[in-house]
Amino acid sequence: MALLMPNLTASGFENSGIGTQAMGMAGAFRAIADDWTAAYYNPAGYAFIKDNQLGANMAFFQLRNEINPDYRFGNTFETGIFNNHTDYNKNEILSNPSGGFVVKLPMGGKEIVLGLSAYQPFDNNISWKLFGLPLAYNDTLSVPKDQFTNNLDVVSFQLTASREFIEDKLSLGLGVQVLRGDLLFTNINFRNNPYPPPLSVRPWNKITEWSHNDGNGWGFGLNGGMLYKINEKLKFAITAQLPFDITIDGTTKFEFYMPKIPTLIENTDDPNLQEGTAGYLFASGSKVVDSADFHTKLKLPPSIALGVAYNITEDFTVSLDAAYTFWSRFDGFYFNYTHHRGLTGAADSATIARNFFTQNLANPLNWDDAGKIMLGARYKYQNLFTFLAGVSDDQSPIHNTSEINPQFVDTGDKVTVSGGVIWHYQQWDFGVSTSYTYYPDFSAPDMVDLNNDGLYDTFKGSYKASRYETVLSFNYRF
Amino acid sequence: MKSSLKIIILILTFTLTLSYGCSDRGTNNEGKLNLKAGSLMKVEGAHVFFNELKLQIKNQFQQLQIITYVPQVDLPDYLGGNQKPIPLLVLLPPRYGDANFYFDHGLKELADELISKGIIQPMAIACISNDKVFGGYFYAGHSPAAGNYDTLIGGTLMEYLRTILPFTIDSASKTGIGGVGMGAYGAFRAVLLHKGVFSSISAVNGPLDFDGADGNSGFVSLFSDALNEQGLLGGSGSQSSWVNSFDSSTTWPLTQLFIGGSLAFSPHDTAVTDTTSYNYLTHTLTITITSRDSITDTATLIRNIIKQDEHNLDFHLPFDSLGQPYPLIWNMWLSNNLENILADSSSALDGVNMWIATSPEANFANYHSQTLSWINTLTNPPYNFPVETLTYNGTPGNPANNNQYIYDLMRDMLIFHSDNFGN
Repeated sequence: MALLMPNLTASGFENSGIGTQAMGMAGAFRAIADDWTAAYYNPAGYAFIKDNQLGANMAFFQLRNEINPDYRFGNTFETGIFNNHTDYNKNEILSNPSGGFVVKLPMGGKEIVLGLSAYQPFDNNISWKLFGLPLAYNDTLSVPKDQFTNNLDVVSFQLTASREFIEDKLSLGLGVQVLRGDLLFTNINFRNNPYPPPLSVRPWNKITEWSHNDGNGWGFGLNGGMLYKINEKLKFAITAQLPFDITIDGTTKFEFYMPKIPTLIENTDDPNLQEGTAGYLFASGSKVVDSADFHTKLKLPPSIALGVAYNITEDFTVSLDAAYTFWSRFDGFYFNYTHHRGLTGAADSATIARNFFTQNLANPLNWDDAGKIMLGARYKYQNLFTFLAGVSDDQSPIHNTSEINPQFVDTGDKVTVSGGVIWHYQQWDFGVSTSYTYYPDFSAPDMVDLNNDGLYDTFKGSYKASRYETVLSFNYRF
Repeated sequence: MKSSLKIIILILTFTLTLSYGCSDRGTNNEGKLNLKAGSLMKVEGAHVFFNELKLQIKNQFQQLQIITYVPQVDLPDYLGGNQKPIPLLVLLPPRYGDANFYFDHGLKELADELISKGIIQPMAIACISNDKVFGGYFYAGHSPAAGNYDTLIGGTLMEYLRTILPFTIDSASKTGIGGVGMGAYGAFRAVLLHKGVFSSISAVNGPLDFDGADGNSGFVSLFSDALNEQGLLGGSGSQSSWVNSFDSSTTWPLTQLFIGGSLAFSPHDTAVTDTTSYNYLTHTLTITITSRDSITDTATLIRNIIKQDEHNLDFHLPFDSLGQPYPLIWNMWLSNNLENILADSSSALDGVNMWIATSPEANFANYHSQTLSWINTLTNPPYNFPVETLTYNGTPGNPANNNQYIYDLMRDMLIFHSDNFGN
C-alpha cells in the first residue's frame, strides 16, 4: 500500500508533489497513481484503485541556503546589507502535512471513485536577516529580524472523481480544488529620497523601508488526468493542473528609517528644516511607522505532464514522467495599499512626505516556463516491504541569471535523489523516506530594477542552497 | 543479506542524512555593521577669530567656522600619553559651503566606514567655512573686503589647528589639504604659497585655469553669461550706465562668482594699513598689512554696492560691457591663475602628491574644462608632475549630478590622502 512522501522540491515555489511512492520515485508517479495521492498526480488513477484508503503524512524539511551579499549602490556604496559575510536563512525545521481518503461508490450502474484530500501544491518558507542601519542613518534603531521573508502556503482542498471509460483500460479523473493561499512577505526596500539636495545627497539619497505583508485569500483550481493501460505491462498518462488566481488581502506594517543629518538641522535658521517640518523629519534619523491594508494577486502557474510506467516484473516497476510548468504566468507580487493609518505630524500632513510613505510596492519576477524529468523505481518485497528510489532533474524558471533574491532562492537547475521504504502490516502501511536536493552555486551579477519603479528587485551576491527532507506516513486500506 | 539487516542499513542511512541535514551551518551576522563612530568637534564662537578677516564683509567678529572630524581611536594624550598621533587633513568647501559642507555630504559617515574597515588610517579632518555673502573669495588675496586668506590658509589656520588638535602630527608628510570647487583652487593656492606645509593635495572640479586651455575660455567664456544674467550685455548708453546697474544680489550665480573674485583679485583700493597683534591660546599672532594698491582706472569699477564703515570696498570687474576681457583688470586675475602662481614658485609642488578629479556633470562655471586644463599643465612639460586623475561619471544607477559626486569622490580623496600619509 501506499506510503506518503511528499515534498521534493520543484522549480519556483512548487511542491513537486505529495506523497508516496511518487516522491520516493522522484515524482514519476503519474502513470502509476495507485494511492490517494493520485488526487495530485493523476486523478484518473483513482478509477483503478482496488481499496478504499485513508492516508496521511508529515514531511519535515529544511532549506539550507546561504547568501554572501554584494549589495552596493552603484556597485560601490554601502547599503547596510551585510556584504562579504555569509549569512544563513532562518534555521528552522519546517513541516508540511497532507492527507486524504478514497472511496468507491456505485453510481448509475457504474463505479465512481471519489476522494477528498488536502495538500499543499505550492509552498515557500524562507526568512533572512541581512541588514543593519548604516551610520548615515540612526544606527541605534533596530530593524526587525524578519527582513526578507516569504512564507507562502497554498493549500488545496480537492474533491476528486474518477471512473473507467474503457474497462480496465482507460480512465479519466477530475479534481475540483478549493485553494487557500496564505502569504507572509517581508522586504527591505531602499527608496529614493523624494527631497532635492541637500537633504537627499549621497549617502542620504535612499530611505530604508521595511514592509511586513500578512494576508490570505481563497481561489479555485482544476486538476484533470487520463490514464491508459496500453497492455499488462505498460501504462501511459496525461495530466493538467489549472489553478486560478488567488486574491490575497491582508494588512501591512511599515517602518521607515529616516536619514540622520545632524549638521543640516542643528542650529539652522532654515524654516523648512525646523522641528515639526517634513524637511526636519527627513533628516532627523527617526523611525516612521505606518500600517495599511493590502491586496495582491497570486497568479499560480498551470502545468501539464506526461508519464509512462513499465512493469519489468510483477514486483518491479519503473516509471518516467515529464512535467512542464508555466512559470511565466507568475509575475511576483504587486502590493496595492489602502487605508493607511499610523502616519502623524509632518509625515501625514506634508504632501511630499505622505506621497512617499503611502507608495505601493512591488516585488516583480520575470520567470520562464520550466520543465522537469523524473525517473523512479519501485520494488515490492514479499508483500512486507516496498522499496523506492528515484532521481529527478528540475529546470529552474530563473533563466535570466540576475533574477534571484532572498525571498525566492532558486539557484539553477537542480537534481534530487530520493529513497524510501514502506512496511506493510496487515491493512496498514507505514513509511519513511528521505531525499536530498542539490542546487548549483550561483552568483547573481547585478542588481536589477525589473519594473522601473526605482527599486532593486534582485539581490546581488553569491548563493548556495540545498534541501533535506524526511517524510513519515501511514495509510489504511479498508 | 537478511531483510532485517537491510532495514537497519536503511535506518542508519536515513539517520545520517537527517543528522547532516540538521547540522550547524555557522553564525549569522546578527549585529550592525560594527563601525566605529568618530565625533565632530566644533570650534566656533569667540574662540575662533582671525585677524586676516578683520574687515571681511559681514564678518565683524573675524570668525572662521571650523568643524573637525576626530576618529574614534585611542588618541594620544598630549600631556604624556603614548598612543600614536594621527595625520591631519584640511578640507576647503566650495562656494557658499560652510564648515558643515563636507559633513552634509557624508564625510563623517564615510570616514567612520573607511577607518573602521581599515581602508584608511585614522586622521583628523578639519573643515572650515567659505564666505556666505558672495560665496567666497577664492581663499585668496589681501583686500579688506575679501580677507587675507593668503596668510590664513596654510599659515595661521594651520598654527591654530595644531593648537586645538595636539594629537595630530605636525609634519608636512602627515598633513594634507583638499577641496571641491573654489576649495580646490584654494587648496592648490595654499600649497603653492606655503611650501613645506602640505605633502598631499586633492582637488575636485574647480576654477583651476581661469582662461582655459586656449587662453580664451574658462571664465572668459562666462563673462557675457554673467552680464546676461542681469540683462546688461551690450551695455546700452554710456559706459557708466551698466556698471551703475550692476546688481550684487544673490539672484545671479555667475555675478556672485565674479564679485567674489573681483573683491579678492581686483579690489579698487586695499586702503588698509594695519598691524595688529593678537594673543590667543598659547600664540601671539601678528598680522601686518602695509601695502596699498589702488586702481585709478574706472571702466569696470563697481561702486558703492558694498559698504562697510569708512572703508572703500569697491571693486573692478574683469570684463567690459560687451563681455570681453578688460585687459587691465583681467591681467590682475590672471596673475592669480594657478598657472602663473606655479610659474613663480614651481618648486612648491615638488614632493607634493596630487590627486585631481573632475565630473563632467558638475560643470558650473566651466570648472570641468578648467580642471582638465590644469591637469594638462601639471602633467606636461616643463613640469611633468605625476598627478593621479579621475574623470567621474557616476556609477550605474547613481549619476554624478546634484552634488552627488562629492560623496562619491570623497571616498577616493580620503584614500588618496591616507595612502600618502604612509604608515
